[in-house]
Amino acid sequence: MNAKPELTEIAKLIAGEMGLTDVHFCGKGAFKETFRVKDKNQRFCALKLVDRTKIDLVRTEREIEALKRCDSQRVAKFFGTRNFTSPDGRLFDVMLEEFFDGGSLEEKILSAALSKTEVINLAEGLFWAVRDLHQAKLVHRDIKPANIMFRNGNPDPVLVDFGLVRDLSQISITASWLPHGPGTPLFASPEQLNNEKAYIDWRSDQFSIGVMISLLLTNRHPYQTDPANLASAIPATHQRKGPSHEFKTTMTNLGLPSVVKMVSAWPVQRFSNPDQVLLTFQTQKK
Amino acid sequence: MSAYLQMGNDSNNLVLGPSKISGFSGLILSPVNESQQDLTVGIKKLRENNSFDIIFDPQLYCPQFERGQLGSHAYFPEDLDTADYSSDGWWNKIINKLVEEVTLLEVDAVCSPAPLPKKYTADYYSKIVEIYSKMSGALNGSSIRPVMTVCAALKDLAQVEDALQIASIITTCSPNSVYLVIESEVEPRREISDPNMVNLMALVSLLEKSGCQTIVSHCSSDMILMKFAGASHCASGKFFNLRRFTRSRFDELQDEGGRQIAYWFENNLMGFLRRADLARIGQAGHAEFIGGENSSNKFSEEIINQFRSEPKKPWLALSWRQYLNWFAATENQLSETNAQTIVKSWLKDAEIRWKQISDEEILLDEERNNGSWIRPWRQFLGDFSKLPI
Repeated sequence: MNAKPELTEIAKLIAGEMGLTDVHFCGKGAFKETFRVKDKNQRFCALKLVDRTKIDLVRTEREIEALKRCDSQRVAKFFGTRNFTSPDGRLFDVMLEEFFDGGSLEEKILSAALSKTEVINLAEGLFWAVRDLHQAKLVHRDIKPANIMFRNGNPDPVLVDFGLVRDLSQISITASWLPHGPGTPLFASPEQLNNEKAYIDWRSDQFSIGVMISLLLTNRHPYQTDPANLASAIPATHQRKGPSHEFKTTMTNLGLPSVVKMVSAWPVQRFSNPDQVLLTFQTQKK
Repeated sequence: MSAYLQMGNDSNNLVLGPSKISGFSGLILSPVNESQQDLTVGIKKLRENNSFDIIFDPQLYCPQFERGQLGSHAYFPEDLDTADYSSDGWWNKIINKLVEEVTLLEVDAVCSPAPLPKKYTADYYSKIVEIYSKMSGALNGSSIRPVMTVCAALKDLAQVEDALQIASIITTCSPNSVYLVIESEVEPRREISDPNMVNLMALVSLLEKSGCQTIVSHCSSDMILMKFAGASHCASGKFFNLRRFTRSRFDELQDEGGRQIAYWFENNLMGFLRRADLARIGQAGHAEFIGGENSSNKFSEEIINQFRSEPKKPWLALSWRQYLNWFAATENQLSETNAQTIVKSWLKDAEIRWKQISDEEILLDEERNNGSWIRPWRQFLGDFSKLPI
């Protein structure tokens, strides 16, 4: 998220209508601006403003439905939604969610690199989250450090930003003719990059977590072909080149061969259910 | 035991009565050959003193054709000609009726309906996943296991990526069990030596590795390749002699019978031999080529005794049994031991024997029955082991 707020005044108007106070800008993404607010019980909440001109209502509705449906400690709590039309006539979808005072993983790694143990614990926590999503027939499709938050004093990661969620119990809303499916390219699986909707399931999230583990431990993407250029991984992932030999060797030396399986080019080659991955992590920790 | 018998026309006598074959752990029922009422009676008989795992295959592969007894089954749709096969509602109706029928029949498992497509595309496999998921949901709370039917065309498995694609899609719903139906254009009684077989082996292996037990249907002697690839179960039937799973088989059902030829299955040659060939090989001083491994069974003995005592008597029924007994015993053997080592060794030895047959100009009845499939099969084993899967 970049730092320049555009919607602070609008956020204040909305907060006023909703009985929220202490509006404080937190960050901005491609489709949303987020503010920290206090509710009537003096509890901090995240107020998210989605500009209807930037994203279809149907996708926001999917996000809201997913957050409501997935009752998990590892997924941001959802408190409510409403529409708001600004004085200049712009339409916003407003979401009130849990606020995370422990910050994001993106912020955390800026201050200090994580140890191998911390990365394994983090990955295990994420797989518990993905397991809960899998049971709710949901695929996050945008797991990356910016979308992983922490509650204050609690090391367990929590997934946020379900704007790209795929609900497998509903018809896909991504057009089949698009060359790429939704997702952040650096963390996206080959099936996301190729918009192969038939292959999308929790194993796409598994791929993203695998990429994140690699980046956290080695600063390299598993598919990176040019050591000096992280983005070289994106075409290689798109073309299903498979994880590099160097990555395989590094993970094996680190005692984490399971991460190689997690980032396999085809979903069928990855772990077939979240419990298997969790078991592997638990074994690796022993 | 892990082999399945695919029941066809008048097949109950293969597993019941004094001439029953042994070694099959399960049966795959055919609603094409038997009405709902006949199956109800038949299953009761099959259950007496037997512990078969009974699977019902609804056989909606090509429902637009006249399909034997299919019309007598409640799940068979009356509006076939006008229906929209992509309609969820239409499939829901079929699935609900299918679940009702299999519940009444008290089978152990049911395959999901799977129509053959014009083209095997990602959309098709997504639909197959959807149909299976619906059926699985409809069976929730029942003791009847859902089995996902997956059809694929051998000609479309030209690259290992084709296998990876299919396996990736069908495992999105995490089926515990898949019934794999491979459409091929192989002629009756001929071994499949299409190079795409190695990618079929990859498909089997990928499914098994992802925790999905695979039953490969319509196998013949190529069952040994599927076991090499790790298939949990293989299925065969007496049909192997007449046809495999080809599109044209659906046109042939009306005039079934009368065209099968009696063969002896010989493990030592991994091939089918006619009666005259058995004699030829023996007379050429290679009697040791005959009766290898599970080819030697109670029906092989009966065949030889009958050749001696009643040389003119037809032996087709014994032929089916000799082959099927070999199939079940071998399938079980390869499940329990190191299939890869055994299969490699069998094929290597078979190739040597076929070379001897050729060198000594022992000319078998059928020109093309010359062991020419053994070399490609051996190559498949090597190629399969090198696949990046």
